[in-house]
Amino acid sequence: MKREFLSGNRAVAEAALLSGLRFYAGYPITPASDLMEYLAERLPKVGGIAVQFEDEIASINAAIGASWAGAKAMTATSGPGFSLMAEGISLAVATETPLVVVDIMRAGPSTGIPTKTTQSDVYQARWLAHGDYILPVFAPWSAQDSYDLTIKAFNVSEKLRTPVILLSDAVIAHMWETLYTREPGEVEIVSRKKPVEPPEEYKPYKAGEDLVPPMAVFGEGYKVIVESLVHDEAGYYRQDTRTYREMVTRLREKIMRNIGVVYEHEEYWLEDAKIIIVSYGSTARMAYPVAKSLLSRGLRVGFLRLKTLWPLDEGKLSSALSKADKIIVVENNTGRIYYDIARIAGRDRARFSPILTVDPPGFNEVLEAVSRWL
Amino acid sequence: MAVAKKVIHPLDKYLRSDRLPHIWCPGCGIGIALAAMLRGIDRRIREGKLDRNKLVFVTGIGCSARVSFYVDFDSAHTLHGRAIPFATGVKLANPSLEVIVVGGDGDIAGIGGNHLLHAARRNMDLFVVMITNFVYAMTGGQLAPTTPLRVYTTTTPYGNPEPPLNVIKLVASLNANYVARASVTTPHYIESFTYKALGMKGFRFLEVVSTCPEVYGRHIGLRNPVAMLEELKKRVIYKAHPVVDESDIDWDKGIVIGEYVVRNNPSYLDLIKRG
Amino acid sequence: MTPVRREILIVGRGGQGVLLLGRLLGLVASRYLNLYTSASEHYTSETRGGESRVDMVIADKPEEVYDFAGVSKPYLMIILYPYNIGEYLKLAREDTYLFIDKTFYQGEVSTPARVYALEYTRLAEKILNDTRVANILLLGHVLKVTGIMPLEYVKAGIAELLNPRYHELNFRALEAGFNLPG
Ligand SMILES: Cc1ncc(C[n+]2csc(CCOP(=O)(O)OP(=O)(O)O)c2C)c(N)n1
Ligand code: SF4
Repeated sequence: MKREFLSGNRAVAEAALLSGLRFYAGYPITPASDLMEYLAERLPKVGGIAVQFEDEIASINAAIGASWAGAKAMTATSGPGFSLMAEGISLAVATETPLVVVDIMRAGPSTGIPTKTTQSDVYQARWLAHGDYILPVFAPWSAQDSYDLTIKAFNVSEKLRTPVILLSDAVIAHMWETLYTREPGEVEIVSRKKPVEPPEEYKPYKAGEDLVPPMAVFGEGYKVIVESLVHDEAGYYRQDTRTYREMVTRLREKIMRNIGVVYEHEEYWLEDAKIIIVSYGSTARMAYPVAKSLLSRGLRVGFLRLKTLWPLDEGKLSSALSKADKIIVVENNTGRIYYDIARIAGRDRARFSPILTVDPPGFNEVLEAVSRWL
Repeated sequence: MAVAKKVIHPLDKYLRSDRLPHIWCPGCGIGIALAAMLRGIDRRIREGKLDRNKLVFVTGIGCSARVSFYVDFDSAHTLHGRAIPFATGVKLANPSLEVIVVGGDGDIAGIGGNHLLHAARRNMDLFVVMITNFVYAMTGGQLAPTTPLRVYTTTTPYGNPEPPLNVIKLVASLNANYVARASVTTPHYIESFTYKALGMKGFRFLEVVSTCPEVYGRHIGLRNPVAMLEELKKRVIYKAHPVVDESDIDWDKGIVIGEYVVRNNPSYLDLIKRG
Repeated sequence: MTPVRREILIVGRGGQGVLLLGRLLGLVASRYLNLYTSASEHYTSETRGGESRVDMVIADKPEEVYDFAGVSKPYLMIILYPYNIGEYLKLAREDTYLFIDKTFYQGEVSTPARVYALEYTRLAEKILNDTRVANILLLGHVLKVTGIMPLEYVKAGIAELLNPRYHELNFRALEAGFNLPG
């Protein structure tokens, strides 16, 4: 372990390198450009490559291609570019391509305010693309968390053969902080499972118990088929309900069965909390001290920070929230995670404290928003 | 699959024969183009210059893009228009692979046009084969970027008001090392241009003028595959040294095929190694 | 040791090395002093000319930096260029160390803070023949006056952050500042 002072974006880049990143594709956009600039300098030194493509559509498709050529791949962008990546995300889902996509939220809709953030793209991260699918979304709240969750994003993407979204934001991305980085060997790095059978017997989408097919890549003699159409185990296009159902069910199940690995939240003072404040990402940075201060004033307040925004482990969440009378969701949008909490904990207990600001909210602003419900 | 394949055609060894019959209409030009390409590839493989396990076919979506279904190589059937960036990622992540992109003119030069021009500008180490059938065939006959002026399509019921794109001219104006055109009426050129392109570096582009009797044939009143091939054949003019200025496709004046550009500019891989 | 929690504000013009000062202090605090730092950088889209600002907190526990949303009780304020100086001066308190580059500001400084106002840029020109290191010269003076970090650690930080070509010049600037009367 080493102590470093890095921005959120650089922490993502360093963690990606430690995780084995070898191919980065991107198109400049604030607040993600500096992530690419940093990697453009660092990647060639470890035998990797960073390429600026003609747009975000090319970037994500190139990253998918690189992953199929055996490289751990990543792209990073922000709302407008992320919108352009929608179809690519669905290709990565259908072809079960390990890939990390970093979306650094800025204020939208449209071009919005490039340098400032809100948390309005939570649903975009979950459901950007067409089709019936599920993919993991992680949201860091610090440089340390950006580092740790990036490693997790790579590990999950490789283990479950899925694209993973790291949902950072303009505040976290450009916040410089003290963090511990790891040396190789100090943290588990997962790489996709390889087939053990000979090429003649290999079927690229045939999974075993864990529902994740071993992945042969191009150039290994397996005559791999990458298929964007609905396909059977061999990768052959099929138009029947049975094949469709099997494919879509397995794509979902391979993730839900591993919800214990994918889902994470942090709990503070929940034991005898009557009021629980729930938050995530940069807004949690101020919701946390507000909760702490309410606690020190004698209120029975707890704090829960979501690290995984999708899929949610509803069982785990609902038991963590079970004893509270009120659950107050604080987020910088007009309601995203609030609706999940209302569904999971019940509308009678869920409260919503929206913070609609393009500047990091101050203590009093959050306190005021929360106090409505105290 | 462990059962040995019964070889009934010399190219069967490169095909996933268990996926046949293919989806192409009787008399479609795409099969001719694929067979000719495979012969060019076969020559390279037999010479020991190409390892079939290192060959990757990347396609987008369309009738032409379906070739990835049938070739028995590593293959990717990706998104409409995105074969070139996908292939670029493949090549850059593992430069030892030979990456071939095949697509229709809509796929490559319409929706994928921006990727085409930037890959050519970079002289990216890819071999791109564009099968021009003058129409969006897979989706039932809509306007393509290559559809000639005034021709009826399902989305231009009063005749196409737009001048077509000359893709040879576009790619030749950029930094591509190889720009050639052949026709399904001259499969030997498809074969020899493929063979040649596979011995080169950088961006290599081959346009194959093809026939789509099913859809385009209906639009222009040439529903019979043989008649359509004959009509095309009458118009194709081979030149040993064609110039880009004569590359406009003109049904009345003829369609010039041949090698428009052959050069040895540093390829993308050459350029990044220098850094 | 009593808990440490110090807020630092650095303000200047793009090109004056405001961000560098922030990164240097953060690096030294994180790496050499085992402290926790959180800093946010603010700058206009023009890299040169517009206002640059770093808001930073340094503390000995990570939780102590979570609630940081910008400087409100500055321990140290460094003003290299007087953008919005009126606003920033309002933050200064009795125990604030306030350093101002007088090269660009001749106005009144009415504040309860402990004020150190010198012509740092002009001094850098005179002593080092290079105005680019005015920020480091000022930092040397800060180290002398506040003792916030040992000089040697800051040198090590400079060596890590900057191209070796510039090490000597910056070391000399740092020492020149450190040798100014406290
Ligand atoms: C993003 C997107 N838009 C539209 C389509 C529908 N689509 C499929 S193939 C095609 C055009 C095919 O034309 P071309 O590329 O020229 O190939 P051809 O079928 O003529 O060989 C279109 C528009 C799609 N698959 N994806
Ligand atoms: S529609 Fe046209 S291009 Fe498509 S397979 Fe039929 S003949 Fe060929």
